[in-house]
Amino acid sequence: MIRSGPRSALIDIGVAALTVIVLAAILEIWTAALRVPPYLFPAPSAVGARLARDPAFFAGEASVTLVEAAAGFALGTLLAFAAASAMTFSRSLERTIFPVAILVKLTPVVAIAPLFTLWFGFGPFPKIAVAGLITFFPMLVNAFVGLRSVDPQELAFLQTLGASAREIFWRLRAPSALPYLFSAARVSANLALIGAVVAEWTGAERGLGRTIFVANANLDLTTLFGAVLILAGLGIVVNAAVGALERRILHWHPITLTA
Amino acid sequence: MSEAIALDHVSVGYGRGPVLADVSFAVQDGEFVAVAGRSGTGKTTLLRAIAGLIQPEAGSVRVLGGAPAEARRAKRIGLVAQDALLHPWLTVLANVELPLQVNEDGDSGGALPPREWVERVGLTSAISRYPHELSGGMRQRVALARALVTGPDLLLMDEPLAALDELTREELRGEIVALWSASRCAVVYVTHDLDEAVLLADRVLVLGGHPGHVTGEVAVDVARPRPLRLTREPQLVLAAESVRQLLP
Repeated sequence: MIRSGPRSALIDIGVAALTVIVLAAILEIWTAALRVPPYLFPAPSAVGARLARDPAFFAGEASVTLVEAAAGFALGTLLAFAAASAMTFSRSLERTIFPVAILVKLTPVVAIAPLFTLWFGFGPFPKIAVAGLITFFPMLVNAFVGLRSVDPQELAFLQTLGASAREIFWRLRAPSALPYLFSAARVSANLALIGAVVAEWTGAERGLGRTIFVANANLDLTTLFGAVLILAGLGIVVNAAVGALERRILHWHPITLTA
Repeated sequence: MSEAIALDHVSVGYGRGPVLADVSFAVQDGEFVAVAGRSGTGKTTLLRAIAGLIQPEAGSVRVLGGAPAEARRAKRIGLVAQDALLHPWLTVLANVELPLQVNEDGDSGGALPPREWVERVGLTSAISRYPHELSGGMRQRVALARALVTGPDLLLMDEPLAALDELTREELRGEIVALWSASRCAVVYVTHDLDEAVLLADRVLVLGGHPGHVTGEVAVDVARPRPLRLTREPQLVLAAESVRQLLP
């Protein structure tokens, strides 16, 4: 059966919600039956109560993390697309940029994040930078492959019309790269959230990462689990948003047509 | 009448020996020439050489009185390939408008605006549709309109009907001839279908061998309009037989 865009998104969210409810019920029974102490594993009902008691607090912290992740994702995507474009135009730039990109990819975020905090302070920039860094590599590789993977016959067609390299880039290469960019975005958008959270651990005044860090130090596991739950929810929403955008922009692509 | 294309002892290759060797022929302005041959004899490579997308290793190619690159820059060459090569993210109309939008310095003095080209190929009702919503025949009609919108003096066609069913092919053959008659541009029509070659062309060049070379040519002296099927005209059957005998 062919599923329509919004309906398919609703079914996805429904299935995800049902899974969470079933999982919560199992954990509730388990914690009650074995009298698991809340400092080891809080009952889902306690986590729910904590979230319900202070929704503005969690919403505020989540929005801080979300803005940092979104800004980092945008920055990483923009830089990756620019680098991939440069690599498309010049083999020597490809040879220069790729090894640096692999070096960036191989450096663990947990090692970089404290350095960024040391260099750039406790403000939002180090978090944005870490989210951008974690976004950069998958976006770069996919953008590069997408920009290069054009049909040689389509290229010949535009060349026959005397199209310039710039026109070929914007009229053929860039639109052809979009499906690749969306595939990468599905991975990178969630990675950007993780990047922002990890960066907040190394020094921040606000954010879900900061909340998790402080709650962990205080053995306040209900707050910790509440923040983790909110983070997971953000991940699902971000994933759905990327999917919806993909269906809207790539309405012509087989990925969308056969979904 | 002047020459639209003049190939003089042209050899072309991709660095691993020539694909075409010592090819010489001319196409006059307004002439419809078919290039027939088996698969792998360098027919597509020949079109690429005429369009100047690949440089010959030997010999010279002149198109519309100059170098192919000049004709390309002036947008005097149209191209229709086996795959319609439409941009899937553009509507029918936007695809037909595309050649007018790229290389704006080139001559875009087409006889008709894009909407009328869409109408002429019978797709007005599908003007806002996307390529995935069209049949193979409809897509090739869009490709035809797109190739003609700039008013080219030379149309290169690379097996444009090869991927279509027989009935659609018959229909489109008629449309190709009608569009060509109206525009009177020179056409080089590559095909491996010998019947199609004699049905459409004033002259059929036969390409064969490895590397590919012109093994002969057959003039099709049958008045137009011609029938849609070969069997209805004995002279066309004879011409097709002559072409077949020239195939190595």
